[in-house]
Amino acid sequence: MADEIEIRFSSDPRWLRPIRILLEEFTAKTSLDSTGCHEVMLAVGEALSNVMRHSYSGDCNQRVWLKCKSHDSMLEIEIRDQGEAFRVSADSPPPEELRPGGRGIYLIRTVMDEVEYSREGDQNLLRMRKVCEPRALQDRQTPLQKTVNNEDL
Amino acid sequence: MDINIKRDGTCSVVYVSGDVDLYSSPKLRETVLDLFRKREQQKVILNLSDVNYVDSSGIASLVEGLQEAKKQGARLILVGLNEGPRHVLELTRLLNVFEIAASEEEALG
Repeated sequence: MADEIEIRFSSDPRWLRPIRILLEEFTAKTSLDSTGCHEVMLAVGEALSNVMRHSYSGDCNQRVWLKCKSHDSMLEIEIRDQGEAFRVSADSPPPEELRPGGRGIYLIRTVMDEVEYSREGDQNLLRMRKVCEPRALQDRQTPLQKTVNNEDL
Repeated sequence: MDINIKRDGTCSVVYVSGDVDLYSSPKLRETVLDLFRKREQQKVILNLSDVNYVDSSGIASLVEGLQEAKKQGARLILVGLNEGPRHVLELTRLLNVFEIAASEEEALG
């Protein structure tokens, strides 16, 4: 059975830090090293920031769903929102250019092994995957199954 | 994120602590730009030794600060880069774009 955590929250940037803390606890149970864990937090942070800034145009009162699932050798992240459709390609300039913005999607694509975006009905769905080393049998603990809502953050 | 500033003439040391993300980065951006534009600082040293997480909005704030410094003929120096922020600067290929000092003393010297 896989470890799984689902977090439902409003599109307010002040939730980014508490979500990272939950994610840090979650990734600590995987076989990712500290750099890998940091990269997952970065990718999720960038994806959520995009939802808040672009899909919901800064409206802090809309709904966002984040689901993380960890199998033996794969960490899967799913982010859903009901905002405007993404324009993924518009946010990927050459990173070495000395201009302030536009590095979010580039970072996500750089640190995750698979990134898929789709529009499902009125929802944006972003799926990201990162490969982990398979965990040894003796390292496996009781599976984590957790749902966290806005008010718990 | 908290910011404390130590000013000495035309040089400021900005102590940043906490995460620099979409929620907190506007404060960092405003602080740095204000030091160059309104306080006419010639050197701003950003001490990031209490920062473990910087996202692309934080990087954007640093880039804007650097652009403003260049415009004013001034310097923006980063000090105390921890593993996380350093990794993001590497990933964005911006590590060599910034002036980075090993210590606050070196940056002040």
